[in-house]
Amino acid sequence: MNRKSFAAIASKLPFVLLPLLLGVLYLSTHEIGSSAVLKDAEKIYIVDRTGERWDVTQAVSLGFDPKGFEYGLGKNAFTPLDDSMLTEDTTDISKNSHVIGVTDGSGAQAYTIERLWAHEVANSNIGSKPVAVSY
Amino acid sequence: MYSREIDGQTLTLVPSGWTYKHTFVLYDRETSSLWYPNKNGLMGIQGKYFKRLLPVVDHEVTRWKKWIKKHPDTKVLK
Repeated sequence: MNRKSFAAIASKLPFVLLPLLLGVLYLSTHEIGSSAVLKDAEKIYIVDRTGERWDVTQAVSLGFDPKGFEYGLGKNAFTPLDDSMLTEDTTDISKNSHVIGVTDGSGAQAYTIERLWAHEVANSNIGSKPVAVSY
Repeated sequence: MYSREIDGQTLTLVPSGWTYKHTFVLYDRETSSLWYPNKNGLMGIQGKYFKRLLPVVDHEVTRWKKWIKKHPDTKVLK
């Protein structure tokens, strides 16, 4: 190979490398969602982004695909809500807001879907009955 | 909305950080069991409460203006 043809090839290199890099980037971003799966003799684990291992052996026996668990943001990614955030102040809620409402003999409680959406779940009580509210 | 009481134990349900089929997987802090919703409630899919159910509690999904009209003394989590 002479120097001239080497230069010609080198000048074309970005056109070869760029699609390759884009391809790798595409694959890496599309792999992010699914979980890393570990198996030993008896058990199947998925590993979240904090490095925590979750045993999903029983879930797999029910038909769950270990690769189907996604994100794995870790236990502390969301702060669940509780009744300390329940208030009698019903101002500043827009009329058309969607809410989940529940009543028992003594009173009524509502949870805005907007708030539930951000926190995923509220550990609440209806009278003396403990409930989990999620949407 | 689901009951979070089972065998006399009250569970604290929190997000696991995982989703499955675009639905959040919950776990409970007391036993670390994993819970996944089906039409009857939250199903234990892993751990102490495997194959057990936290049943759906009757509730209503509505708009705030309707709810406050029917229940002017309601409390709210907003």
